[in-house]
Amino acid sequence: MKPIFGLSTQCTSSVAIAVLAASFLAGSPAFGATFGTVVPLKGQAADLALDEVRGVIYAANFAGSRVDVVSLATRHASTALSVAPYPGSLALSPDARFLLVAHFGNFQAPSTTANALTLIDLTSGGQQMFTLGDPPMGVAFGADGLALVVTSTEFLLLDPLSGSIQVLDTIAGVTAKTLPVPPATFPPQITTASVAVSGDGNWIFGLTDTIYFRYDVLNHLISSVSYTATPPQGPRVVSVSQDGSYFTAGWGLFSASGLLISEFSNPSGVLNVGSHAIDSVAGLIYAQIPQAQSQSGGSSATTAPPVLMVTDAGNLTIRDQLQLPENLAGKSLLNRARDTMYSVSDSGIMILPVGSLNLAHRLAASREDVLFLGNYCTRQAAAQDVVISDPGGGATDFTISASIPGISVAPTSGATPATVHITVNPQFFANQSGTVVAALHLASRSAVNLPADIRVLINNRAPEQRGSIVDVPGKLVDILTDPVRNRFYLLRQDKNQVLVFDGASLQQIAALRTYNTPTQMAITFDQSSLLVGHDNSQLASAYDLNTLQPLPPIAFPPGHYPRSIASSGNATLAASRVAGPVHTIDRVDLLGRLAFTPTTLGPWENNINVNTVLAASQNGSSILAAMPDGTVMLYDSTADSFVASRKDFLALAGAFAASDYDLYVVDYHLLDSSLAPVGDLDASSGASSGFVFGGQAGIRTVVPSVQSSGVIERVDPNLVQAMRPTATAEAALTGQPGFAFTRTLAALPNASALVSLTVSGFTAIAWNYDASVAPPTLTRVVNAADGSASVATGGLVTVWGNHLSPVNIATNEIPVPTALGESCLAINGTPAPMLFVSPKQINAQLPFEVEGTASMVLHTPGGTSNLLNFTVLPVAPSVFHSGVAGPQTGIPAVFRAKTNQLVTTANPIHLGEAIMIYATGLGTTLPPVATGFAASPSLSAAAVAQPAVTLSGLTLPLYYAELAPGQVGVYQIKAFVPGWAPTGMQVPLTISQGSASTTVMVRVIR
Amino acid sequence: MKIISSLLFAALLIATPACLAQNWEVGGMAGGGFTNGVTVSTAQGNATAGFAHGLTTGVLLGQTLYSRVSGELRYSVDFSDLRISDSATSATFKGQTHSIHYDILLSARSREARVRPFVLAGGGMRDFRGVGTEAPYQPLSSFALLTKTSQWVPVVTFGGGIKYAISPRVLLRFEVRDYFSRFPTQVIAPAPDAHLSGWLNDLVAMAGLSFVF
Repeated sequence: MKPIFGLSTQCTSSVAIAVLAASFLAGSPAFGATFGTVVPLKGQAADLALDEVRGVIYAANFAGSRVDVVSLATRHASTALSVAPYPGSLALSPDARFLLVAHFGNFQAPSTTANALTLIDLTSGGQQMFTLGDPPMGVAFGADGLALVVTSTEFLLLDPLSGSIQVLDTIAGVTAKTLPVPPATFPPQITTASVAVSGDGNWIFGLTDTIYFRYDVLNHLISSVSYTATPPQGPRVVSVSQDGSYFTAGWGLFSASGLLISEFSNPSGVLNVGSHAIDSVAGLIYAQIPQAQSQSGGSSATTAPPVLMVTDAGNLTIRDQLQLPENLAGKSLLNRARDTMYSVSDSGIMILPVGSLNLAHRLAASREDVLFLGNYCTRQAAAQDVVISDPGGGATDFTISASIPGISVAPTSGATPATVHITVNPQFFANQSGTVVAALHLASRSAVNLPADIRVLINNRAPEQRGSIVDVPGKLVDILTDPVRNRFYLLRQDKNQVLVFDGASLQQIAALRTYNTPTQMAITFDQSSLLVGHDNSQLASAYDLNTLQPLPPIAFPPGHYPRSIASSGNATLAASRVAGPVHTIDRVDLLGRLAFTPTTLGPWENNINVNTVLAASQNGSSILAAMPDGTVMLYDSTADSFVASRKDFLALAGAFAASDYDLYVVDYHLLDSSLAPVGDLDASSGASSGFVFGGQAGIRTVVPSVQSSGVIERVDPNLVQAMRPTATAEAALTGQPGFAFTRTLAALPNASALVSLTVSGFTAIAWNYDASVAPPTLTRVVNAADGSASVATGGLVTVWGNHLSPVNIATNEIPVPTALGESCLAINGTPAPMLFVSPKQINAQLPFEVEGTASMVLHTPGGTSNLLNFTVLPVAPSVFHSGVAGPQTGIPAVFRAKTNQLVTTANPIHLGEAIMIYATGLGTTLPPVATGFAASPSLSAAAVAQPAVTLSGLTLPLYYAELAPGQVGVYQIKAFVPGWAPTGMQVPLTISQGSASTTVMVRVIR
Repeated sequence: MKIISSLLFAALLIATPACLAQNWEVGGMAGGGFTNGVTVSTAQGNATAGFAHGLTTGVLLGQTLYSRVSGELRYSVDFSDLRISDSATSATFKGQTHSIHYDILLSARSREARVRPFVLAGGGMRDFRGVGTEAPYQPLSSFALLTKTSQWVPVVTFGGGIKYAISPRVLLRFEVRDYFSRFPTQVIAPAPDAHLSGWLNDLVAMAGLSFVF
């Protein structure tokens, strides 16, 4: 036996979530449908064996002294095999000839024990019994046709042909339950073990109360590991991948060697509720893992409705949640086709057609978040669309409702697919500061899944508030900048992802998969790798920052969950939650890809608070450790040891940061090189959230109250003073129970901007946010397609000027927002949707409502611009010069329809083929499309003024001229170039509407 | 190919009445072609356009007009890629050149001789074709554009060779000829503001077998 292998799961942090989830589910009014069919059995099933040759499934009826035989075709328990009492586990030989039944008859004296095996020859019907001295806890057949029998004291190998039994190894430290047991004790709580075989039959894994084991079928080798786990490893089920490279046991996902890859969050540890099965080919795990606080006292009754999670096999990320008719209660098996799952359940056997999930009614929303950014140009109602669909394509009934007044949805019910129009009345939220968070709740009578609520974010910023809000759905828990690559990284905990953003455009460029429940990131001192710690994995994820590809993870000591990581010039440290009474600082060996636990932290015990966080100085000289109980410690990379530890405060929370010049910040305290307090910042301005050092100063964010905008202020460390508090558009994130510390503020390289994790995602704030802001000036407006002066209603334009926005920011949102960054543009009083803002340029759409003489005005935090007068024509066609071919740019957006490739001199138009022209300024359409909205892919919005397209004077036949589906202000014209059209290197292609026209040159060949 | 087949058929019709009483020769040949490049000039500099070296195959139908004079109708295809290059960069585009022409061969010895050196001259048409996959960007496109199209160009051929009689009815042939034509400026099109001029010499060496009947 190997040393103790500790495991645990963190419970307290998720109590609130569980309570919320329970209350939500309990209050969910209309989800009535469930997934799966129960085949009732009289009694309680203890184990299953699937016999696809005979089209039946065998269920060990523990108290019924029989094996029920359920027909897969009729789904009824048609017959039963009478066996000795207390069949606790079953196994079917690979050739489907033998069924081995293990009888757990471990009675206390004076009763007689009845521990035995029954070998049933399914071909002849003959039975052979073997009496055992110790209770059998599980059985499984390997690919060699021999059965592994696990008793409380031995591993046995049974040859069903000869009936011989061989002792493979002995077991120590396993105590079997004795019969009788109190009422309402279920088979998994009696046998307390589970054994399962890999799909290829080469590996058998098992779990008892105190050991894990693995049996190598080909080499007849057993390896076992003792463990302790809090809560217990429930459900007491083992599932194995096809090749045995990983397995799930209880609430954990393990590698073949026993490394805890990830664990399900917040499990109750109840042995007899829940189950799981691995689909290795699809990379999925189907699992019901009851949550802590939602089960009652060890019985199978739970307060929460049973839910089957469909999770990612790599990191247990939940992809879907399906309501079950009752709790699963033991082993689950997938058939060979992987389309049906059979599970022990409360009433018998549950049959789950997981391969036909698309045939079941489900609901899904096209968006996780809907962000309404109000602006001070207008207070008129804003609207956005969400598409409600059934992922399987079916028609599923739904209702949708808003959690607070002021938000209206239409329609409020219907059948999928349906577009739901969400309207927010800004007057309702006029007195609200910061961002209001509401929810749209989806319900259905027929849907079997539990779709997540749609988060509705409503922000009505005031002119003095700074920052550009960027919506990022999900639970964001950390931010880190990459000064070498001008990127920043966000940690999305609910989807187990690192989101990679480009620092220049603020656009997401990649998403990296972590293990379960990532908590904090660190960049190695050589700037080459990103490390991520987790709360539900004993591995730290690692990525190559140059390629954004995963690197081998770092394995932490058994029972250690690295929650906070920091890298100095000499050591990479992790603050680990440990499955045991002592939590530790661990040291990472980057070359060896493992971590070890120093016996001491310098002169101090290696015994830290579970919620300790680490922060490294940028120059790698030190690492600060901060604990919510008020303790702080300092690692010095020169001494390669902890050199200071103090406890001057009763509690600490919020921001934490380390400077390059021996100054540290925790909460609102400034600490010197000995971590002695040197002064406190004003704590009355709000809860501490984020802090960054820049040069010899700092910047911090605080949150005055939950429902407020945030505050950002500069900090002078010498004066120990926060200065020039400035309101931000929305509040930064604050700590949660169990995670008191927050890292929410980051400075992009070259002081280009600050990024703050805020309610909606993040807010980009200009570095000089508190500088006096010059009022904007507008100089000219031109057609965005080709820069010409003619602009038309509904067309895209470029506005040139100065001080138009403090930051560069682009959006892909549809409808296009009328407030972007800190700017809003109005034309004749009508807000104009903006796609891009920067200090000198804005790209926007002219409202369809505006035509003729127009005045444009821009509002920014600097004030209101001059009035720019211009003329909006009914039509002003112009072809986008946005084509790129190699180093060539500015090429007219004319495409060969056959290949969808850009027309260039190297890729000319051929006679007899169709071309697609992308343009703007074609004016109103039929049906009309609202300003800022995209044309529907299903309904063509044709230009009312039909354009004429000529090639060197020859009129080309048109297929259509319409708004390009899915795009705003962009029109597409499809025309045919006949065989008699003129050819040449520079042939004029002209689009005209009435007297307005535009010409581009194209090459045409035969 | 349809055009080439038609031309071949027409040529056969023309040649047949004149040689009803003559010996016929049919054969096949293969070899390689080597072309000169032409200079493409722009304000930014010069590049060289032309064809890469490639395999040439062909068939012939010959008639003996007199003891030392014969005529041959030939079809050949040259698998040479279109090419443009400067000192640092080059670009290619799959190409083919189909040639059909009629040549007069003057032999140094009579038809009975085992070894018969000859000189030849003739004319016909060449079909230059770009057959590669088009893409929006082609390197050196500021000089010339390698284009997926075809262009017929008149051609003059001249050269010489030797026939060696392996048996009374089987001849081994070696020959070198030059195809002289205008440069196909639709297939390798000079870019706007680029200047391309010149003639194309395609020197082709071939070997093959023919049969006399």
